[in-house]
Amino acid sequence: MSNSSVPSPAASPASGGEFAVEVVNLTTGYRAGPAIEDVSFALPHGSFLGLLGPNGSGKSTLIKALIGLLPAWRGSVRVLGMRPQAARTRTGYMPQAEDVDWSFPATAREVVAMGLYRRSFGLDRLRRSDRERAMTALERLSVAGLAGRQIGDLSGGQQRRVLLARALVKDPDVLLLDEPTAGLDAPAERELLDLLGGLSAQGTSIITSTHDITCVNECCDGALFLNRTVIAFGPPSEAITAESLDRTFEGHVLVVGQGGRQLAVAPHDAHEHERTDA
Amino acid sequence: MIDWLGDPWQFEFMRRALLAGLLVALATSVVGAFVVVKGLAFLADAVAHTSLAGAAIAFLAGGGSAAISLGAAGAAGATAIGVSFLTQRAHLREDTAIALLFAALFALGVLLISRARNYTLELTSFLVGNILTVPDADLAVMGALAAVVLAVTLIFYRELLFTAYDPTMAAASGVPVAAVQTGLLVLVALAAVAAFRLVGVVLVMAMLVAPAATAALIVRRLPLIMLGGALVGTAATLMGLYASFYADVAAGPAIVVASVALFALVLASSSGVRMAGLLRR
Repeated sequence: MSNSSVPSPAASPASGGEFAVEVVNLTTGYRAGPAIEDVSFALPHGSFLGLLGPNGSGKSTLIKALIGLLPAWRGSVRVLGMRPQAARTRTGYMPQAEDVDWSFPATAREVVAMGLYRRSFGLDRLRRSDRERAMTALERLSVAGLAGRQIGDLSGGQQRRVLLARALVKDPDVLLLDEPTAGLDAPAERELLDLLGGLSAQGTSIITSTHDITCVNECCDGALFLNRTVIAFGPPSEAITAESLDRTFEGHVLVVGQGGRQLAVAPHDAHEHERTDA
Repeated sequence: MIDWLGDPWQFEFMRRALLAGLLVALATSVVGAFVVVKGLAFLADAVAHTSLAGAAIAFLAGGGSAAISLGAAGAAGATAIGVSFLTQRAHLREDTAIALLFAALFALGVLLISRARNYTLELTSFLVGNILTVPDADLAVMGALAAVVLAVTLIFYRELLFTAYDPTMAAASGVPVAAVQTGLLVLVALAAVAAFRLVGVVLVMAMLVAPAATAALIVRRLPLIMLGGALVGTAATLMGLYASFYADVAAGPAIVVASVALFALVLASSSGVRMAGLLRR
């Protein structure tokens, strides 16, 4: 296992387990059948991993297994050395924005406070400090001014920040993000990635799924190519190769040479280009 | 004018009807906020109709009004749990599961009542309610149901809110989502039973939907929708009772018509305000 792990920039001694996330021969999926098979990788503490793959490659499935929403059919998942359910208090999760009901009558602060949920039947259910912690999380993402606004009234970038604030409100050691930048324009995406880079530098372990190969190359210290199973895993400079791109996206990716730089365009983008060219 | 407003309340049966209306408005508006926000109207309607089967069984067994309400609550609760089971375990589409139970239990209820001697009379009182002859036992049952609905919603507000807003994320945070969803359906069932003696099984859905939908036009936070719904429900009850007293019409349907009229009024005035705002721009 150790030869397939990304070198760690900032190991966090406070966290349990040798790795922040360790997945061994994981197979899981839905009623229709397995969505990922025989997936193995280990992520050192404080890593920032980009999860790359086409639609339906199992990125969301893997993230759901890491948060404990899907049980392992075969193999095992360890988060901070624990079962995913046991690690939940120290794990932050950000679902795809398109899965969220934006018409729901709730304010940004209410949504962030949901991230502080804990099972309890005592009087601490009514703790007031939740409100303050939600505000602190919103301040951290510089959207404190939106606390009282309806979530449906926010822009796409603001909505992502509220979702990220909810994932961060517990100060998690592991952050799992499902397509956090999908649908954002370039400056908003850059801002969000810089923010994640800062968290990673402070020792938070981050796994984010994305379509954007360039951003993984520039921001992440690890890349994992997934297409139902692991195609390639390692530092971006080693994992991002023409072969891994080809095997992951099955030829639907455009690799363009440009002045000594290689540009890869993932299916989403390629589709966009075709449309603008036509 | 004062006499006109005060006259109806000299009568014991009118005061009891008003108290029943207030209790029902409380229970239905709290649950109704979730029904409106989550689009559970069809389910609420089914739960109300299937309560007839339980009420009919208790009625034919010679039970009093408390027993009838308990029977209705049993059947409604069974529907709520049955819909959860069929969708979560048997993987039926929710509307299919609802339709099956709705049809089966409502038909069973009518079938059972057809054995009664005063078939038409009894059926009518079940179908459109009989608020003006609410006995003490019914008032006690309504009060108990309203108290249970309020208490459970208050205690489990975080779970209900989180699950309604984002079930995936709620599950990831350790909320027992399946249990909370079933619990919400049971709360809908209890509120429906509270309303069933007031407006009858056919019109319960209006009490669950109209006041909360009216409040949702004005306010956009769940607790405020609940509070606003209770106010609208109370206003509709008053309007319906006045109409019943002075125009000699059935009270239950009058309350329902009033609550939908209030909705239309608020909708018209709020879109009027919005139009005016656009014109000013």
